[in-house]
Amino acid sequence: MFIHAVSQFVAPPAANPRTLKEVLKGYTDTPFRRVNKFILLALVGAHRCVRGRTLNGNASVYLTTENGNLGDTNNVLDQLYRQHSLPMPFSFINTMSNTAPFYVAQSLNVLGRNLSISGLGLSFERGLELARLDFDPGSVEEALIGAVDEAPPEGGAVHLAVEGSFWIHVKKARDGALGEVAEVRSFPDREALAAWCEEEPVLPPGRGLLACGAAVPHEERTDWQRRTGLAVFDYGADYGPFDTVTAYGITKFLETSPSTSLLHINRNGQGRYVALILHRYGS
Amino acid sequence: MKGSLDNNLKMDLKRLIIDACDLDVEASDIDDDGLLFGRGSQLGLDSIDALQISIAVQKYGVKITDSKQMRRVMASINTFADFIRPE
Repeated sequence: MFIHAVSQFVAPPAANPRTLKEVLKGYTDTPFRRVNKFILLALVGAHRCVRGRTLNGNASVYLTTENGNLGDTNNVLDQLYRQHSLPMPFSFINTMSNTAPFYVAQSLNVLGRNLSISGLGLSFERGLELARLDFDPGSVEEALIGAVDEAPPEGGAVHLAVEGSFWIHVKKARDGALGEVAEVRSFPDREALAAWCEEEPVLPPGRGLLACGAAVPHEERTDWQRRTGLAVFDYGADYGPFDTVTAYGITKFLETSPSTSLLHINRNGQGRYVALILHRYGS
Repeated sequence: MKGSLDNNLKMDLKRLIIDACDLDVEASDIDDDGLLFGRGSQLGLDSIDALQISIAVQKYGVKITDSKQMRRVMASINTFADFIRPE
């Protein structure tokens, strides 16, 4: 699965939909109505990734998210249970999980598989995993894979510094690629991942970088560094934790690193692990 | 005074429609007698917009309960204003 383009869009949580609409106008003339913040984040990231190029009409869209349409879901629940009123129809429609990838596909005129994927702290990894499963038998030959999450509403228990939308454009064809998703491997626990690392060098020491997801504790990161012998690629300090931080790290690696490889290790609250290996080609 | 004779009410309704339906037009661009719904109408609104407006308009203390009534009431800004304030 070869990576042909990447995009990053990081916004402060206070960014309102009108601001995002203005940003989106920089990438497409298509007018968008009835869309909420989550959908606009998805559209900005996807269009920024495509940047006016035409995708194959059969291209697929895999949108990964930890929380989906958080703001509108909150609005609808508030209207139903606090205000005891009917929910606003646009908000109600936009709570459906697949609304955002639908808008992405419609605006880019692609008719391939269209999926919204969430996976308990490993959403982006699960999206890559699913895409690879579709690529391997040739069911899909081109796709956009994105990670989109809006910050929780103001006044909630969790405050995040940013929210974002991060996308990669992947194809089965290598010509012109800037990199490759070489491995997406799941492990039931830490021991299984450690055994895999010891079977054979995942990446030759000194020939790649190691990054760890936000949920991997500091002392564990040190252990993975010792086991792999790789230098650390640390992206977590840039904005602090936020829901799409893994996709941020991956796209940052692909946008800024010189020709090298990355082993990315992440875990979720259930102690399951996913290892990614990406190669970044020279320009 | 009938709603269709009250320019302030009609301006409020236009703003409500623009806001509720996420339209990129100015209130002053909406004609009082122009059709609001359907292809070729001035705003090109559809049934989902009608539902959205029917919920938003509840702040005026009115309820639109069936689709036939909705089509009749929301034909234009003037008919809508007269529904809100018949006399």
